Amino acid sequence: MGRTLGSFEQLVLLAILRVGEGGYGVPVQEEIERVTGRDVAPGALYRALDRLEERGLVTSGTGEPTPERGGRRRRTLAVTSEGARELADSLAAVRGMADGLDARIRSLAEKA
Amino acid sequence: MNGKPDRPLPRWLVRALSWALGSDAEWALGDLEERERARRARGRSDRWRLVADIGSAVAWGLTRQIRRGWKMGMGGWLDEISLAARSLLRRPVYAAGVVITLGLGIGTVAAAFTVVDGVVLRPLAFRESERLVRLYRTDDRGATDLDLSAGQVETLSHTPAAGSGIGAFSRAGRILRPGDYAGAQPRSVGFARVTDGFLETLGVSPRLGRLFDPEELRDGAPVIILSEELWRSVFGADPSVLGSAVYLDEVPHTIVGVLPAGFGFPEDALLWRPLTPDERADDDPELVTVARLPEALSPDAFEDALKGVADAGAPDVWEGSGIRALPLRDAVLGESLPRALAVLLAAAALVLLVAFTNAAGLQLLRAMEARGDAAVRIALGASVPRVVRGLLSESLLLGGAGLTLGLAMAAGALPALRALAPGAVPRLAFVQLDLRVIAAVGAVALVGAIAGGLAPALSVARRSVAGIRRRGGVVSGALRLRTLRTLVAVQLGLTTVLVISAGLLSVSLRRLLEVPRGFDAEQLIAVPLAMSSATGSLRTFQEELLERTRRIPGVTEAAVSNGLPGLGTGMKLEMIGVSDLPVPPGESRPGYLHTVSPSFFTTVRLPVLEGQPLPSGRSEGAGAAVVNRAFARAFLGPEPWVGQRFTRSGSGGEGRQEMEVVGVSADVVAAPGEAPPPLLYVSTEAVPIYKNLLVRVDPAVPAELTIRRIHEEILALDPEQPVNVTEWMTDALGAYGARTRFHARLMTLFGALALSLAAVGVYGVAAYGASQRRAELGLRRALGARRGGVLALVLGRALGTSLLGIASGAVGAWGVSRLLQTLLFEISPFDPAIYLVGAAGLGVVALLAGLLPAVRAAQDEDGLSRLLREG
Repeated sequence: MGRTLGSFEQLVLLAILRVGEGGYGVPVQEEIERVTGRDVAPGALYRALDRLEERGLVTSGTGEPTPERGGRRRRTLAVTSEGARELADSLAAVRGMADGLDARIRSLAEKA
Repeated sequence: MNGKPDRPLPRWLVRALSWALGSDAEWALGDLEERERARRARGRSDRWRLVADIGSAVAWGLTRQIRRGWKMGMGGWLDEISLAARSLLRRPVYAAGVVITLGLGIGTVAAAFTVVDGVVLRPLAFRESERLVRLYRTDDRGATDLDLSAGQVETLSHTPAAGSGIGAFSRAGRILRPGDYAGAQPRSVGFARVTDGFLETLGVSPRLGRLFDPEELRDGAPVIILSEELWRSVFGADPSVLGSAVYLDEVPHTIVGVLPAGFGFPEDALLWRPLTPDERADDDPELVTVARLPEALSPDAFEDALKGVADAGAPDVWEGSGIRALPLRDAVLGESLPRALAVLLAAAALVLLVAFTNAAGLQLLRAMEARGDAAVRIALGASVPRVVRGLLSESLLLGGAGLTLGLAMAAGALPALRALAPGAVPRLAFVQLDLRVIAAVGAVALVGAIAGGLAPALSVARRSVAGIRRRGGVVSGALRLRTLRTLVAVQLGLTTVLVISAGLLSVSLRRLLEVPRGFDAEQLIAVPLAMSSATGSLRTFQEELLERTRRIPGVTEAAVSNGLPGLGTGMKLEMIGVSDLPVPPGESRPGYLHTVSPSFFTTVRLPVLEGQPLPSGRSEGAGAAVVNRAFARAFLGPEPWVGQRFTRSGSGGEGRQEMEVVGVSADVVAAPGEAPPPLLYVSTEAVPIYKNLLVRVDPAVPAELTIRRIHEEILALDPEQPVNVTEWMTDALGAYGARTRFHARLMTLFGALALSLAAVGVYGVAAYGASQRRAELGLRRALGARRGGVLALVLGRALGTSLLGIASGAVGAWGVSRLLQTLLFEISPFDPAIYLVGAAGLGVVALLAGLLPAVRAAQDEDGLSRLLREG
């Protein structure tokens, strides 16, 4: 692949995996917000999803209309095997780079 | 918040959102609602949070839709266009043919429209130019276009009625010697002598320096303002030119300003200077007067107000005269020009139509070829609209290339066009191709290109499926051949109209040029003389100059004169009385006084029809007059004219003078088709005023040599004389009949363009017709038909079409040629000879264009067997 995953794309892929089967926009967004403590704009999330889908890392489908959503459908999301590989690669890269640096990073951060 | 619990957002917002997000993004709307519902359930509804969410989602939705639309719409088009470009590059002859055809048509219209726009449509280059009027004096003999005298302008300009400004100028010509400007040669310049308020009334501001101040205008100070043209050509656009001294007929003047380019009023003025008190005192009625209408006053009301002023304030100055106000634009353009240019624009439009028709024919042939391709594409699953889009892309591409070529050609042709009628068409020198023209012509070209491509494209769409089965089928081929023939007939019809119009104008031009000038301008040279008091005695100078000049080998005869023959630069004069009967004041009509040496008539070969030329000698010359026939008819009593006496006054500086007619000369025609002006010739030996040396040279002696010797003699007499300004008389006179020449040349060019396009059209239809009938022709040959028979068959078809077109074109020309009436000179717009010659000429062209394909078809020995092999 020409492009590596951006950090927000990593978060999105991880969130889809955490939410699991039948995941869609709202829980994915809430999961990211809950774990990172940062607000996620829906437009940014959708743009990232469009991009990931274009690259074949995510597939989406249209769910059935449900009464609890006032009769509106969902865009259901799933990570493809290609997506999982990309994610594994980029996580491995981050882990590899971070290996053995935890203490140092923490001490530097506290100093500041 | 309003809205039910399950519908947290108001209905209008939902509707707006579903539009903004796109119909296939209902889930995104669901997400927004769910988030809002959840927040409310937690009691943490936050309006700003909601607005931020919606904004971000809408931004995403809109960009997504635009991107998708681009991909589907424009992206598709871009693909099609690159495909079309590649397909056209594979057919360079076809593509070049269409592009050149369209380019010629578009270029013609662009150039013609540029001229019409620049000359007629565009407002004059003055501030609020629609409020400017030109004032004329009328007299009770019915003249409505006389100029005003300084006294008359004076009476008008100091009244409240003329609140917004009145000013005037008169034309003059002098030799300009550019003082210290090294390398700048003396040249003769035409300029305007302006009254107080003239430049201010026009509302012009200087490009450099300043306008004249009131004192300079009052005193007639020796200050000048340059035109941009003169500033560039003589002074090298030097910004420090202000304050420099230059010499007008050796009188020093100071440059105080430069006017902007395109100011052009009067258009032929190269510089402006104040009218001097002496010139004002002459009181010649020769001031071209302009006025600015007061706010909210019509020209008619203004006219009335000024009449009131004239009658009340200065009845003596205005006795027998009235005032007429005409919008300045109309005064500049004249009556016939806008119409003439409209006719030329219409002719250019016909050329464009011929070009469009021709291009449509070529595209039809191309569509025939593309039909096979299209059928295959459709069979392979391409939708019909997509295939049509492909063909239309080709048309658009060809149209765009044709437009580019046409505009380039128009831009290239403009300098030639500007030079085609110098001075004869006002404002022509300033026309340029601009965005207005490009936009207008571009729109026409686009519509034409689409229309030309649409019909073939649609016919492909309709028939492409059938075409799979019957590729190149005879039936549809015949149908297209008929369409093609119609297109060619239309082309030839339009071309016939143009060719006949061009013929009428060309014959007009020839007849106009046959009108004799009255004198012989060939082999005549004019050397302007800068005569001032510094030159010494003007009487002695002329004697010595003529004597020395005549001695030069190669000089046949020489004379001095004030004005040049045929250029109307004599002085206006006023007739006081004829044969002891006074002419009532105000009834004077313009006549011109020419002071000439007695040798003038033999030098310019102006025949003296009755009586004698002017006598030699100072005392003999005094009171002797040669008049031309126009003068005699206008002012003298019944014939015989020789011996009649009259009294004149006016610009001679001699005051009132008794004159006796000693001779009557032929008329001098200033412009063909115009009435010759009344002229009075007086001897320079009696009235020593002259500005030119006229020399008739012997063509057997090299002219350069003769001219150099003349220069040497002049300089020997007066080293200050600016001899470089020597001109051939034929050049000084300029194009004789320039405006008619302009019309005729353009129309001929249009006719020639249309003719060559139509010839290509005839060739195309004959060639295609022959190829369609290859089987039939081959069979005929196989059955023993002679070549001649086949030739006649193919040619006959092509000619039949052509003759139909030519005949209908001749009828059309008959219908529209009355529009040409005002442009014609001594020829009827229905002159049968022109129609016959034009139609016959077109017939010959059509015959030649059809001949080549016919000969080819006739020589095709094995057409049938090859066709059978091909199946």
